[in-house]
Amino acid sequence: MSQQVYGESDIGFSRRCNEDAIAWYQSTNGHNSVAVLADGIGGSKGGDLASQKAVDVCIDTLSPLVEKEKVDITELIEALNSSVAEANHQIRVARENDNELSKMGTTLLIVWMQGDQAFVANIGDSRCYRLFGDAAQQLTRDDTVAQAMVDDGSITEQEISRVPFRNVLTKALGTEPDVKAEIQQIFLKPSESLLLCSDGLTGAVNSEVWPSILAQQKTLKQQVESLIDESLNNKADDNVSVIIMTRQ
Amino acid sequence: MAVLAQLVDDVVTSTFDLKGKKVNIGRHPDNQIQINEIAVSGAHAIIDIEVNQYLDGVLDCYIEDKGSTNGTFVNDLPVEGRQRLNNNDLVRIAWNTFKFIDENESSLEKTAYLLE
Repeated sequence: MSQQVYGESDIGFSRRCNEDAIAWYQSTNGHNSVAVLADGIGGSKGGDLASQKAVDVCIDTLSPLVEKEKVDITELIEALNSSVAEANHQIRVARENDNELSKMGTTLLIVWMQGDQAFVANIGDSRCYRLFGDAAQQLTRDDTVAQAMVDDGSITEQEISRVPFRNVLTKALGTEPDVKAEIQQIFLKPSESLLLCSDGLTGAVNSEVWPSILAQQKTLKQQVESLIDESLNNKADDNVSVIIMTRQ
Repeated sequence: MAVLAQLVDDVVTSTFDLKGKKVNIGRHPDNQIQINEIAVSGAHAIIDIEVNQYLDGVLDCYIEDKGSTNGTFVNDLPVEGRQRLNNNDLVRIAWNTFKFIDENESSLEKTAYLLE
């Protein structure tokens, strides 16, 4: 079963620069792939540099492994952890070398797809969803103050969109000497896809309507574009990035 | 400091500072915010003021109905359990309307602020 990956990133309706970065790499035989999405910290100079650096480091370090026919779980998790550590290190070095970049950071989402399995590594509030039938199921948990307050019972899930600190991150790449991603293993049915996105998409288009938007499109490219178009129609106030990974 | 501003026909008629750990609202004179109006229960609602565990300098105000007869509402939705108040929320105690104002919160509205 071969895989297909496609993604796009858009500046959005009201931002001056695109601080999101995306990339993906597929093995020559099409059996394995890795996709990376990062959303630079807004308001801090260098958000675009941090996200691009994170994506570049992850693709550089993980792509040789993608070409292997079969990677065992231990090796893969080690590779994901060391990619995250290296990206964190490089961002911190850049921060230390330039005062103007001293606050930069980024979210990071890596999805590795191998056969019927996927491994999702996440830091921050970019998200991975499982698409199946007419549903989009959120797989990642946001590293935000609002989510922490939901978890400790202070507020409900429904209140997140109303709290003023809904975008305050509790964890990001580049902000601490050591940072570890949450890594989870997912099993996929043949009809299921994975969608990676920055918060520009989730802020502009409710995930409940994604399946109906996607169902109207024939190709992966059209599907990605249709979600970005819809977010622009809704005047997305942040950069919007979407990657979809499928098995066929 | 957050305040509750009482509105009558969209005009502020009085303001109440939300200070201390608990602010009781009701018709009885023991309440910190006393509303002398027949539709308001003696002990109608309570606001708990708590230090946010994750954000320095941020106080969270949670409102809870105390089993009042005519209810407590935030933005016209009945308060069920304990609910956090956010800047510019409209709080209704029976038929009395207040605006919750917390100017400190506006600085947190920017996107992707980083907790370091």
